Amino acid sequence: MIATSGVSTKTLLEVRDLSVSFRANRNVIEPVRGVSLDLPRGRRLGIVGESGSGKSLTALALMRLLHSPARLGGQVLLDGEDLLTLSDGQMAKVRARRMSMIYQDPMSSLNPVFTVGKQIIEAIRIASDVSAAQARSAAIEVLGEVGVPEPSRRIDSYPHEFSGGMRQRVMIAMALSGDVDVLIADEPTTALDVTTQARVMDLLSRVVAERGLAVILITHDLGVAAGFCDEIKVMYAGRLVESAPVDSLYQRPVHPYTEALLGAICQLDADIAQPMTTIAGQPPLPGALPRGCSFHPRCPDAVARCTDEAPSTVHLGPARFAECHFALERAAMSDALTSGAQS
Amino acid sequence: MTILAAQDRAQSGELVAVTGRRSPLVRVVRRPLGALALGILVLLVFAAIAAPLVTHYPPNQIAPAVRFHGPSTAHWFGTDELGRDLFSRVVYGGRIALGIAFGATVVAMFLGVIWGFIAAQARGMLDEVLMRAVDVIMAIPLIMFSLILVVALGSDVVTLAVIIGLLLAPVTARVARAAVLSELRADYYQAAIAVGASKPRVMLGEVLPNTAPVLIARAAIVAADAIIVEASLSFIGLGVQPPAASWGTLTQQGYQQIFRALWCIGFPGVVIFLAIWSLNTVGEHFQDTLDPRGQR
Amino acid sequence: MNARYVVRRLITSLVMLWLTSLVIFVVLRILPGDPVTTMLGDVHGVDAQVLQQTRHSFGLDRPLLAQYGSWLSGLFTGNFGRSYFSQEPVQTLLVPRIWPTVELTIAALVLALAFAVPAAIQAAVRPRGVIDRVVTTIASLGMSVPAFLTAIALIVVFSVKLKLLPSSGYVSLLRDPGRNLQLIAMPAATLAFSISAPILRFMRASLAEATASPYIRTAEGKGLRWSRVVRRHATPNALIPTLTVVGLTVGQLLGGVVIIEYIFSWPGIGTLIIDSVSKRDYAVLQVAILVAAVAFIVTTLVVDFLYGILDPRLKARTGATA
Repeated sequence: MIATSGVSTKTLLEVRDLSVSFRANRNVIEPVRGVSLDLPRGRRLGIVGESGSGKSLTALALMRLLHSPARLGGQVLLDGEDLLTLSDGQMAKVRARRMSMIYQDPMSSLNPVFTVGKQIIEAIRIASDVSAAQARSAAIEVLGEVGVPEPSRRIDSYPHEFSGGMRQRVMIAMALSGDVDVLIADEPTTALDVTTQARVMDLLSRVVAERGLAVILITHDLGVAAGFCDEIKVMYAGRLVESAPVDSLYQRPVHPYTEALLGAICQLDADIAQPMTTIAGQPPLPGALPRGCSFHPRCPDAVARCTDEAPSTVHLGPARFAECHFALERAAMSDALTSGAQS
Repeated sequence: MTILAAQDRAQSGELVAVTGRRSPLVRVVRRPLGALALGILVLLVFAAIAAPLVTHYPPNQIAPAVRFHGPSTAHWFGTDELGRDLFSRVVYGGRIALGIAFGATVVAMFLGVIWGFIAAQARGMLDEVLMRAVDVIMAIPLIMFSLILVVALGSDVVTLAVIIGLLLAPVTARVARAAVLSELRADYYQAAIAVGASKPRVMLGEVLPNTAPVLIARAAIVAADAIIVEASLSFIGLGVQPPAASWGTLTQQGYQQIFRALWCIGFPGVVIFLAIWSLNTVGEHFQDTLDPRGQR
Repeated sequence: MNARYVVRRLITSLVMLWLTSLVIFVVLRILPGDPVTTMLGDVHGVDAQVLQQTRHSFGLDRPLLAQYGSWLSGLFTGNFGRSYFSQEPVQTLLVPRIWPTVELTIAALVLALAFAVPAAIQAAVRPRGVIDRVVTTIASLGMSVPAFLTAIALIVVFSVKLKLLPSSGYVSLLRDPGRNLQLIAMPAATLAFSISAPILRFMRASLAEATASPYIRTAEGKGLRWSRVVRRHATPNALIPTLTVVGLTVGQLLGGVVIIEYIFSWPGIGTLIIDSVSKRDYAVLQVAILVAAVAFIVTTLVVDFLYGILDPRLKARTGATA
């Protein structure tokens, strides 16, 4: 998906060939290899994948929160400016005012020795030049906005006095303190129970819509992604192996991995006598990637070519691509099946 | 967490079941500092054992003609106020200092490990009592306690070693107890017991060997502490008594000469430092992978 | 910090104190080395009758438990006994020496913290940088050099060679502050050097653990610069456990103070102990050592309470209302 330069919906965030590598002894490990994506204003992008696919590292790399010994390659263009070339001070400003992130474990992502209010106020005052009093009332306001009851009282509570769901709301409040354009949400609901999950996702949806934020949602939960995102990218072994608008992805998946993921979703009306569908095998470790296509050991449709040759990105339409030697054929089949089912 | 429970953590480190197959000794030697420390240690021990072979002059030989000679080819460390060869005195002093340190370490490890093992095994009342005993003994500053014991029981070499060993046993007990407890919490132990292996067998066969690296590392530190205590006591005149001379005694004698012959205190001082440093370094490197808090 | 916790800790400390006094007393009494014979000199020339009388006058012929009982009750009523040697009340020997030792201990602690804490923080701001390396080296050295050697080295440099500082003596802070500072400089620096090593090590490791925590990533993600993240967010979390180590080093200090006071002729409890030890003046010794043990136990108590006050999580656990 190449952004046509200039024009009305200017791409807010363009990632070109982002890579994250580590040197361990004499080997180089690349958990993120050549990730490219475009995020226009107001777009909600989801990155889904199993644990170890490299999705969290990608998110941290975008915010440049990965330090040595991790090394970043490629470009991350925010409004045309490459974040990877900025100085530490300039990047700090970007984090304060233009991009923010919420993390997956609200339990340990808040400093236990400071009150919640202090931490939110800190974020507010970094982003804009306001007095302490103004910051405090802004903090109370945003706490109320994210649904924390009695915000003027709870602002002086410590993180351990909140439940998991409330802590995540506090994190969201903190992330919204600056007038940011991009929000990166790294598995925001993984550590929460299902009901709280739903509430937090609703909240996220609401505040994102109100502020017109562009969002990258990282998750392994296909259901959560389906309910929130406009566009989904599937990540496997450090690369984006498929990208499509959300409806296309769920109804007409192309890449065998995506198909397998969707097939593995537990259906409430499934026959309980049958074993649950799983994807055979394990995701590969970044240091031990298979030759050729990294999915081929687990792919039911793999042929000899898949072992020898790594597939390149095949564009399947205005907003779709997949990395598979048989992408075009599979897309055609998939489309045919769907339209056949519809008729 | 009370300060005493934290003492446990601070002194024994966050212990993790040993999973590495590589010998800890290799770990020490692989790093340049560790190799250097081990080398120095071996050198010192060798010199102490082979003292007559390494020295030219008897350590107590008085030679008024060569008093206060600085370091030279004839006298590597120079001579003292009585013309005695300082190098010999330092080497023979090492026999005493290292000998006492070794003895103290043996006593401390023996007592401390049994103490700690019993406490860890017993849990409940016995554990509580044993560990309170540790706390009470450690409430009295080490030097003060050693002073009264030395003055009452005597300051010959063996007594000194035993006293210092006794005083270093409580800390060792803490470390040993923490080590055993962390093993008892480990999966392999629970599994073995669940399968029906007899407790003593698992303790001797698996727990004990697994705690060995931590305990060996602790032994090195204990030896270093023993050297410090003995040297301090001898320096103030309440440790090794003349005519025997440990490194501490030499520093005391050398201190009298700081205006005219700095080498009299310089060399013994440096050697004391090297001995302590090399023991501490070897001990730490040995324990390195087990205790992320210790080293950076 | 609720009342129940406080009371529980206080009781534990009192029990510890009592047990410690018992140990001190028993160790001194059952060990060979009769104070009476020391007092009277050569035993052979002395009449057994005189020995017996002297013993009796000091109550040394009573059963051990009775002796301990009267000593202990004496402590509560302010009667600390009389020196075997000079017949003076132990108090008059002990009290004037408390302040010099306290002064030295505090000075050493302040110096050590003033050096170790900022050094550890700076090392954490720039890991593996110059400061980090220098600081780790100093820490390593500090643990390997016995206090008396440091003292001698300082004396050689500052008193012998440079003739800048006096190497012995004492003057009250009130009487002559300038001179007092000159005299306390080397002993305090010596002790500070010995104890800053463990504090530095622990603080550094504590900071390393704190900076690896998720909330640090959150703080950086908010747009704070790394140095600010370390100083404002990691440091409070790292300081709290470091308190424990500081409490422990007081114990180390009390031991080191004995040797250092001796070297610098500092008129504190340390020199009193060394004097009494050679004279086998057990009456003085048992009180002096008890005082040291009390100081240590009280310090650990204070640290535990501070812990409870400073860490918001513990405040909740020990019963304070959320």
